[in-house]
Amino acid sequence: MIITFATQKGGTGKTTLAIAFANFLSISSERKVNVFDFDFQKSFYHKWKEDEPLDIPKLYEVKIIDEENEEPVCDFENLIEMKESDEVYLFDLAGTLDAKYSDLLIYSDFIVIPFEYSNVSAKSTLVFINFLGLIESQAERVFIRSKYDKGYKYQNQEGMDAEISKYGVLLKSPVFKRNCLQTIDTRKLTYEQKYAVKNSFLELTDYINKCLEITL
Amino acid sequence: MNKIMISIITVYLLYYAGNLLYDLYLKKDNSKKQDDTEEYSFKEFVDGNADEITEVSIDDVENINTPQSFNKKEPFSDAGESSDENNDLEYWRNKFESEKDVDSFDEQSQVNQQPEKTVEIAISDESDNFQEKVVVDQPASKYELYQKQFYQFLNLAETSVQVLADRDGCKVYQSII
Repeated sequence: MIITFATQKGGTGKTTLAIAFANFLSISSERKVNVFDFDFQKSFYHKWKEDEPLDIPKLYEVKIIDEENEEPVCDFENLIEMKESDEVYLFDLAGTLDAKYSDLLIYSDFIVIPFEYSNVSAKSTLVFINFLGLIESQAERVFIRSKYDKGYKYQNQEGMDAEISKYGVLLKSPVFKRNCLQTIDTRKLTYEQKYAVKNSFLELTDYINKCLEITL
Repeated sequence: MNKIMISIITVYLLYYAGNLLYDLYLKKDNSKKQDDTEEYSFKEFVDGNADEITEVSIDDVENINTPQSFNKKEPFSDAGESSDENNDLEYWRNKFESEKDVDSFDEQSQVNQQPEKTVEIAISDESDNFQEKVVVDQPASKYELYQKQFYQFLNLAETSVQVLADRDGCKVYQSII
């Protein structure tokens, strides 16, 4: 299956959540996780390379997709093969949309869209929703509240939740703003990190299991 | 009533009699002047200048004395007229070409869909045999069209979001697609 982390705006914690979810899946699931960093900044890949000296064993391999290596997403058969595979193919996209993402966004099984309630993030989320509709993406849209501050009352939360829920599934459990997520690496999830994302990711995996009728 | 009618007729008769008297005695007779003819002759001019003008050169024409009141400002400039005409031609040419493009749009799109095939025949120096080389020019615009469509979608996605509500600066957006 193909799970893609994507937004139309950077800074919503997309790569952090992708790393956390890759770690979470690798630890909790028996399925092999393959990560492709499709972001031109290659943040996920650089983090993975940084962690090489660590004593903890690798959880997964991370490959980069750039102009020299676009084969995984340019070849339609490759995409379908990944889509039908039992393994998990996790893609991390850049915060800026690009034409080269179109095929992947169309054929992903799930697109995980982290968002915040700031005006800029809220609007760009709607723009991204529109774009997915225009390219006729077949993917299930999963919206996850990122960097959520439970001590703050977001005035537009109710309205945005109602609007976003029209286009996909909005996970009930947000990922709270936690400093522990700033120090995440690609080899493990600390207790605090796991606690920060557990509810959201359990909800996400349950939804994936329900949609594909599988067990992650 | 009769007095009025008589007085009107009397006034008319007086007016008519006055006209008769004017035509007979006072009006100048111009009919004779029309018959008068005046004869003009260049005889004196020819006799006086018979030997002076023998040849007219271009210098004579250029140095010819013209009246001081010669009107140099022409009411209708030829130059302006010709430039207008040129503008008109340019305008009609552009219009014709644009209409032609519109008319041949379907044909062009069909042509673009089929890659152009050109056959080049090259003579090999080594083997002296004719080699036939088929060069297929792939439409370079396919990727460009892909990019163009992407940006059209992105632009449409961006312009199809509007503010549904504004709560103390926190805005709720909605899609209008």
